[in-house]
Amino acid sequence: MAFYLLHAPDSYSDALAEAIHAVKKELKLCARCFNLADAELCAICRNPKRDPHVICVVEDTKDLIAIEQTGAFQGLYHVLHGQLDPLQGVGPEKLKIEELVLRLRDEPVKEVILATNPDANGTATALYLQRRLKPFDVKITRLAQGIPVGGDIEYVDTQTLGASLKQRTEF
Amino acid sequence: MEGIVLRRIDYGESDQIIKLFLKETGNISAIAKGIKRSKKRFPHRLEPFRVYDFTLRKRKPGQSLYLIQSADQIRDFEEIKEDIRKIALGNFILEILLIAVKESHPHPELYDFVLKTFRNLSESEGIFPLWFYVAIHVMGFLGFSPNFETCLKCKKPLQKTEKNLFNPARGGLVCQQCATLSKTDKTSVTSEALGVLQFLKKASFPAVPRIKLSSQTRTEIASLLTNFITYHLERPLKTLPFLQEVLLKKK
Repeated sequence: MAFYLLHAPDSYSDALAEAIHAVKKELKLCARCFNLADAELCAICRNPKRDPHVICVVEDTKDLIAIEQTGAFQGLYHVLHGQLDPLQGVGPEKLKIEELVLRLRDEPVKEVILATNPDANGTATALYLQRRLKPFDVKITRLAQGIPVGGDIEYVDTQTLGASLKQRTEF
Repeated sequence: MEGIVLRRIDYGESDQIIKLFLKETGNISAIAKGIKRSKKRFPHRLEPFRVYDFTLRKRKPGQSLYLIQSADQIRDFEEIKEDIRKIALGNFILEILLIAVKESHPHPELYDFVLKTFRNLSESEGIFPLWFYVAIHVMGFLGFSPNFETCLKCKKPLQKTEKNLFNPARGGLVCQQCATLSKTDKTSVTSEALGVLQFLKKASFPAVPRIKLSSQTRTEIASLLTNFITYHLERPLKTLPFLQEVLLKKK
């Protein structure tokens, strides 16, 4: 990048410097879902077309972006900013879990989708949330695990194939 | 080499440094190159509560970090990962192993005990007695076996009817008579808790989950064993607050 900037016009490097400065200065966390935002609420929370009855809980903003790119989800999000990691001393108090509980108390939520990673700590986080959110009258769902689209059953690993059998849907 | 995963740390874009507890050689650190990308070398991510047959080689002579060439899964205690209480207890065990088992010091009996613990944890619903049983016996394997039978000072058998006091540093109790002379032994142990501790020290796995404990005894033994473990491992355990939250706090 340094060599490219040496040969680029001054206006280009000035614009880049301003953009980097703006990222640090203007970007903050959405007061509702803790996604990145340039105002008090992020663009998704400000959008009146999003369904406020469904909240998708993700570990970080990169996961939110990945789900947004599918175009298949029209609800709101809640970003935890991490996953439970008992061995590193990361307990529930270090994630945005109490903030999620408050949202369930104050917002008309009917379903919470737990979209944490399917690894050991992501599963622990989902199980903890399931327990924590149980007192609320909401449907709690988890992302399905299974064979990738266009995949070949012969080459799918045994755990994923086993999970896809357990979570099979009516056809 | 057969072993389990204790901890994984992300390293660069697609590698992980993994701390392993191997049956033959104890704890070692190893790097899994490309584990986040290579489905060919690592069809599964390496996860805790699974047993693997690892193929390892030293990266360079004299270096302590091994290279994981392959890892074939032998056993998956998947039921542990379906219950938050079991996950919390499993992590507590992993942390003790991380702290107390030295690099390249074989501990085959402790390894077998840990696998038995995982099997019982995945099959059993009696989490509290299992927690206490495992804490007592893992510490025993590490050379800190507590004594719940005789007074540390006069060596006479402890009487449940008396007010016995626990000393975490010495890993045992002093009887009521000796306690009056002592200023350091302050944690009094109820007769119910003492009975449970004596039973767990002698019991084998199948008998453990059947023990019924009152909530008062659970809290008492949890506190006593926590003080004992923390003292001997010389640090507070990071996994304990979470274990206490999911097991002791009422939701």
